[in-house]
Amino acid sequence: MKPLLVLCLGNDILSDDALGPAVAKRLNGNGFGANVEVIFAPTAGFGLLDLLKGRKAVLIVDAIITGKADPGTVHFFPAGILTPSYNLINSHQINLPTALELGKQLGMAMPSDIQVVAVEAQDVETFGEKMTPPIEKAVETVLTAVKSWADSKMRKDVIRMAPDDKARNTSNLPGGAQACPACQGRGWIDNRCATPEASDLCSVCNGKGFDAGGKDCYACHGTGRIEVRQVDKTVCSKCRGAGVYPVPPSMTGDQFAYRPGKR
Amino acid sequence: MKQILIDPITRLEGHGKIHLFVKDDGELANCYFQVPELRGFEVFAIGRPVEEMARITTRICGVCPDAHHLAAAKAADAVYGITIPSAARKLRELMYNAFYAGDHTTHFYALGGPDFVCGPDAPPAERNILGVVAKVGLDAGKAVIAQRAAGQRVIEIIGGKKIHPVTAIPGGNSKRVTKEEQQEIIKLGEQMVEFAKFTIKVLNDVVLANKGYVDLILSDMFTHKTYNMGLVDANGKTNFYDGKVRVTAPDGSKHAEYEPKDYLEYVAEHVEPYSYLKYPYLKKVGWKGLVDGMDSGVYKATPLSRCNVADGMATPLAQAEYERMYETLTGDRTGKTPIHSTLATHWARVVELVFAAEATLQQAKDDEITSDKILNPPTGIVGEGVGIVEAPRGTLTHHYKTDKNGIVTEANLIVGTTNNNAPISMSIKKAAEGLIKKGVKVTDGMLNRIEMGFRAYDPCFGCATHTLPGEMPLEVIVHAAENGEVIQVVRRNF
Repeated sequence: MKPLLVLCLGNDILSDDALGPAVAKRLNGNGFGANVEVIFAPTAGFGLLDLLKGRKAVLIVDAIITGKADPGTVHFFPAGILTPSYNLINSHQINLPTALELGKQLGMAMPSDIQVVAVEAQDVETFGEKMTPPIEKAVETVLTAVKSWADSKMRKDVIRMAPDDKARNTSNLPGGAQACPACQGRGWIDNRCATPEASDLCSVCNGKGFDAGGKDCYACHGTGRIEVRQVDKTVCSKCRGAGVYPVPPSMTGDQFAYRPGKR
Repeated sequence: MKQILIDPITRLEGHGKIHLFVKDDGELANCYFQVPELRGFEVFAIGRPVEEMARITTRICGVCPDAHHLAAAKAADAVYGITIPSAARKLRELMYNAFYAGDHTTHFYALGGPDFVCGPDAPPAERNILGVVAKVGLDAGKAVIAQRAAGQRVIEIIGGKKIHPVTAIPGGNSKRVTKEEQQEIIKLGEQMVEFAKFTIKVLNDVVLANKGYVDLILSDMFTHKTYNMGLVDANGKTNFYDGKVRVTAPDGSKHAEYEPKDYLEYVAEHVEPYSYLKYPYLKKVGWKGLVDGMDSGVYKATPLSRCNVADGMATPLAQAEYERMYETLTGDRTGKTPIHSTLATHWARVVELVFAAEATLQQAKDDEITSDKILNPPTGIVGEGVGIVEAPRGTLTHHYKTDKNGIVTEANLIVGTTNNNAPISMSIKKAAEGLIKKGVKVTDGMLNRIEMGFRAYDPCFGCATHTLPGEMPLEVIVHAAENGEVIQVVRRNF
């Protein structure tokens, strides 16, 4: 299961309520990579429990009618102050906060970080496959919002490794030991983190190498890559720094791939 | 005269309204229930292939997609004039029973149950499934989740998808069930039956053991002597998927028993100027307004109605529970004397939950469900078809007319909850009459008593709106009727 979830709610044949499914379709067209899952769920209540279970962070995409903003306005708020939206409550179902509470009560791992991006809708009561123009227009804004949400979560959640910090050569290890799967043989993991492949991306420019003004990124000097600082490294909890797993009994501390304080 | 507006579903917010008109002396003069309705489905359907309806109509409502799927599929079978193979029928029925077991579980534990397990006057913060789990135990909570998951899994195996099944097509089903899948369904069925037994125990220990609750169930405040409607099989037993529509009178005598295709001879719809909702009524009795009795065409289509019209349940545990319910509430265990207490609908729902679980297990053991013969492809076209199933919340009718290519030219749907629009309004009125008195301030507890009256129907305005009772925002506005002046406002879930 991927740690980040973009949960798009709605109904694809109910005019503006098709916002969620439309966003899901566009996002699934350009994959997010290993960490983010995009799901369209025409459901509520109990049905959400299984989808939320075990996630680190969730972004809900939905149409909403607050009556306090112009159609097409994009709202962004944490789930805690959720206004009851058309899809998040339902007479035959429990609402989202109740579902979360129930999950916690039953000892399920419920995400603590849930945010909502919702578009003020005009018509969610007429069957039709077309959204009204202001809502249709807001789709692009929502896509940008979802991407920047994912980026911000990735920055915290990604394992970053310096490019020169090579993985351990495991071809001649005794006892059939393999490179440790948790740290890929490095013996350490980045304590801000999760995916090795994005490990050395600059978190300031997200690997692009330039900033919003098109200038070289100040943090990575335009390379898009960064080195992981010593302070960000934590001994891998699986191999305890050996870089191989299982750790052969004959292996001594100075053969470990990662020795804190020494490079 | 004063007007009290209970406004849980104001149109803009997608929630409903209850209007109470109160005279100067505090007496209730009238009561209206109003919900917004999704528009344009009949128009949306026109020009689309009738076989698409089974997949499209699941989108009408996130609550009972399976019911819409099968009603539309049955209507499409009829449009093409096909009798589906027996294996396909068994598969559909099996899937539907599994769906019922999950759906009734949700209502009993999350929506209806809290009033009885936690008490009708418990604060709203406790009166929900969290309160139920706190009282009945964590294992109960886990069992509820497991029961729902079991239902979903059976739907996934037979229906091809968890939430919106897709496999019922004109002439049968498009997906076979393997021997391994059959074994899995049997295991899930066994789990469901165990859960059903547990639910009977909860009902006994927590609800029926409390005399106050039994008195509440039987109280006049929640009683309406109306006609009842439900599907019955060839033996007169309750069937959710297929059969004849039976209607019985308030005294228990049979009013009609008809084939789905003849529904228009028996049911008509009345429109009130204040609501978009239609009020179906029995044509041969006539519309006399929102009143009960032998002369009023108002009928109910609920779990309790299905028990009332049926001669019993087709499985042993459910039959025993059925007899116990009638013995306790009417003294006549045959079920020939109908129960008119709206709140007994919760008990009837448990009877049906037991039946659905037993039937799932029974039908899963039938080896014919793994047959290859699950489709009789269309060869000709009739051009018109009606499909009726029992949705958990009432008799669901899909009616399509098509051209010679099977393209829909006319569609008519009577969704489950719509059948109950009149009795729901009556229940609210009666509950309000008992509570709204001169000089008495409207409290949240009163709101809940009023809500209990319609919560028993498990109304789903998902076909009519997305936002619904149960967890809906509730607002009561008290107006002076002469000038509309607001006297008091009570709100919840805003």
